[in-house]
Formats: sequence, C-alpha cells, structure tokens
Amino acid sequence: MAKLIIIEDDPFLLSILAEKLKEAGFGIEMAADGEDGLNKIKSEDFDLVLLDIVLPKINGFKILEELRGDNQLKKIPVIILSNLYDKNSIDKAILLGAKEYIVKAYNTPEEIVLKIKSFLNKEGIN
Amino acid sequence: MSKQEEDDSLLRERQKEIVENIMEGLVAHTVDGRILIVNEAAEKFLNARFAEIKGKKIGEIDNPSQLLRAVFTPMEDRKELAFSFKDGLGQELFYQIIQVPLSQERGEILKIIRDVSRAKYLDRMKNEYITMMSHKILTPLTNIKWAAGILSGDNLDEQKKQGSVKNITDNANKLIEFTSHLLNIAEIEEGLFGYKFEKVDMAELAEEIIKNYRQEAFQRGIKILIDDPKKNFYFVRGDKNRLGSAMANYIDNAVKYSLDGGQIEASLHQDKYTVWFSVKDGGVGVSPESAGYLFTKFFRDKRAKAVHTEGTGAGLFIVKNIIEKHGGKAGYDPIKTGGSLFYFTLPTYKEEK
Repeated sequence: MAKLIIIEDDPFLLSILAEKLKEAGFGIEMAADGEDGLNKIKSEDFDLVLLDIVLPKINGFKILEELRGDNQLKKIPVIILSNLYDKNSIDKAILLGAKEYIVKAYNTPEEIVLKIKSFLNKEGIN
Repeated sequence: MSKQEEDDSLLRERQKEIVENIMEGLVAHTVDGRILIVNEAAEKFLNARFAEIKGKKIGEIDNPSQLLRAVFTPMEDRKELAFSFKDGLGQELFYQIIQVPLSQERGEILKIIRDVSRAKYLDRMKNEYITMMSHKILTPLTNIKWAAGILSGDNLDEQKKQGSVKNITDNANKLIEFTSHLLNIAEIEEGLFGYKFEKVDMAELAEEIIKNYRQEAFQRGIKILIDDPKKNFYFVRGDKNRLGSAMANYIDNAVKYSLDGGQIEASLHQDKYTVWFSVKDGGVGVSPESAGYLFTKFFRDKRAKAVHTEGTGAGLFIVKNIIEKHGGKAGYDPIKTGGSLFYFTLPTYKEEK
C-alpha cells in the first residue's frame, strides 16, 4: 500500500483530498505548512509527495529545491497540486523536478485521485 | 545669403536638432554596413561615440556592444525586431530595432532603436498581477466546487453536510469581499469614490463596528476592549460608511493576526483640532522592512503571509485613501513587545456657518 504525504494549507481541501485518497487505499500523512511538510518528508518514508505551491512558512518551490539537493530525497516523486496555472509557475515546478502539475480548480477530488493512481501505476509504485 | 538659402539653412539646422534630441536611437549606414550617422540617443544605447565608429563597418570596430552587433544583423524593412540583453549589473534590457530604407540611389539605410525596457517591465508587472489575482479567486472557487461535490455525493452525514454548506458560504463571501476590494481600487483610481459627509459620533461608530467582530473574537478567546468609549464626545465630519469601513479594516486585521487568547485595544483620544482612533494588538506584528509599504496597493507583509496566505492586501490602501479624503492621516506604529498599533487621525467636527 503506497504511502503519500499531502502538503496543503487550505484545511478543507486538505481534508477532502486525505479522505478520498484514504478511501482509495493509500496511507496518508498531512501537513498544513511547508516547514511541517519538509520535516515529515525528511523523517518518514513516502512513495509520493503531493505538494501545493503557495504555503505558509516555506513555499512549494523552495521545497522542490531542497528535495532536489538531497541524494535520497530527490528519488521521491512529487506531484504539484496548485491553483497557480500560469506558464511560469508550471515551467518552474517541472524544472525543479516535479513529475506532474495538477491545477486544483480544474479537477474534482475524484479526478485527482484517478490521476494519482494512474501516475503510480505508470511508475510501478503500489 | 538669399532668403531661400536662409530658410533652407534654418530647416537643416532644425532637422539636425531634431535628430540629435529625439529619444529614439538613429543609426544611418550604407548598404554594405559603413556607419554614416549615429545620434545622441543611439550613442547612449550602443555605448559608443559617433566620432569613433563613423565610417567603419561592424567588423572594424573594437569591442562592439551586443546591441551594436544586433543593429547590423540582417533584417526586413519596417519589421520590428526585439532584442534583450543583460547589462553589467545583471539587469535585463529590452530594445526594438526597425530597419527603414533611406536613399536607394545612395544605397543608405536607417536603423531606429527604441528602448522598451520600461514597457516590458510594466507588462510583466501586469501579468504577475493577473496571475496573483487569479490565484486569489481560484482558491475560494475550488473550495466551493469541491464542497458542492461532497453535497451531491452519497455517505452524507449531517456534520459533513453542515461543514460543506458553511464552506460554500464562507468562500462565496470571501469572493464577494475580494471583488468589492478590486472595484474599490478601480474606483479610487478613477476618483469615483463618492462621499457623503455628515456629523459622525466616533465612539458610537466604533462600538457598532466592534460588535460585528465580537463573536469571532470570542471563539478564539480574544478580548476586544475600547478605551474611553464616551458617546456624544468625539465628533468628526465624515462619511459614516467609509469611516466604518476604515475602522473595520483595522479591527479585522487585529483579530486576524492576533494569537488566540490575545487582547485587542481600540482607543479614542482628541485634542482641540484632532480626533485620534487607534487599534492595538499583540499579534504577529509587521516586519520592520515592510513598515513603509503597508498602505500601498496589494502589499502584504511576509509575516502576515506566513499566518494567512490568502489576504488581499487591498484594505490598508483603501483605508489610507478614505482617511486622506477626510483630511486625516493613517499610519502604523510598531509595539516593542510585539504586535501592532494602527491609527488614523481626523479633524474634529466644526459647525458650518
């Protein structure tokens, strides 16, 4: 059973994502700010990180940079879940190592779960 | 000199002055690239003196700047070509170069150079602004969309239902508030912000405004006190709604950025000419480097962002505008022990003859 961490500062969106992903059979950890998220990634093992960009304390771009700079942590795939949909943000995130970029407003929670499932299947992570 | 010759000479003088004084850079050269004319603006852009490059081709010039090289790249007539470079300080500069044929028989060509860095900068600011605004709108909308999804699903217990409905309402209100901020700003820019002046009792108004925040404050254990709420005492001439908005903005900020269990103190003072209203809190405070920018449009201090990523930052700008329209001043004082004091002053009410 794959273990995911969701780093998202909006409490309602976080709770819905967590619930839907748990229903889909994933192990879920949550963080409501960048600092907490980064600490948890460093101290626990995750198969996938779901990362918002606009976050209190440390933003998503900084987190991507930190993960990329660590030999172990850079192996963990990161999918961005953000409401920034401009080309600059998307390009920057992909350049910093994010595997996929999902704009929350354009998707229902169910659609996001499907995208995550298909990504993990593609990567051979279960 | 005959009259005709005098006129011609004067005309040539004028044309020379025009060429020398316009903002655009002008470089005239032969078909095979020999430089004929370089005006003052071009000298500045190209970082070269006319005297030194006159009569030379690009290949014969020592250390030509990137822009000078760009001037001699092959291009089509009357088609703007864009070039950008980083200068010595790492700043990005943007130029447009346009080729215009001069004399066919003499085989001469004109290059017009425009510095469009400022236009580019403003364009980028506009795009960043649009991106920022879109994000502020999309987040509440995502909440509404997902909450509606929950309501239309199965497994709906009462708690989930209530939570979702509240979420939709709260976020719709956020969007309404944000939209009205945006409109306020647009109106301020157009000077359309209409005011209706009357005699206003500041203590009464303050109490009315604070009442709206009592419940939220209570839920977080925050006390709102008002120092010297003497009615019938502090009078100003003002637009009651607008002054109420200004007070509400200060109280709202104090509540939002206060820590749970903290205390907020509103006060009123006056002397012969001035009424002073302030709101003090013991919350996150404002970082010192930001203090000067607080009342500017859409600025948000990093400490505020760390607590509350989605504030609009539009409020203080509107407060400043309102207070200045009343002949007063709005400002901020940091508190040494942590927290903020936001105040505004207004002229005391004077009976009109």
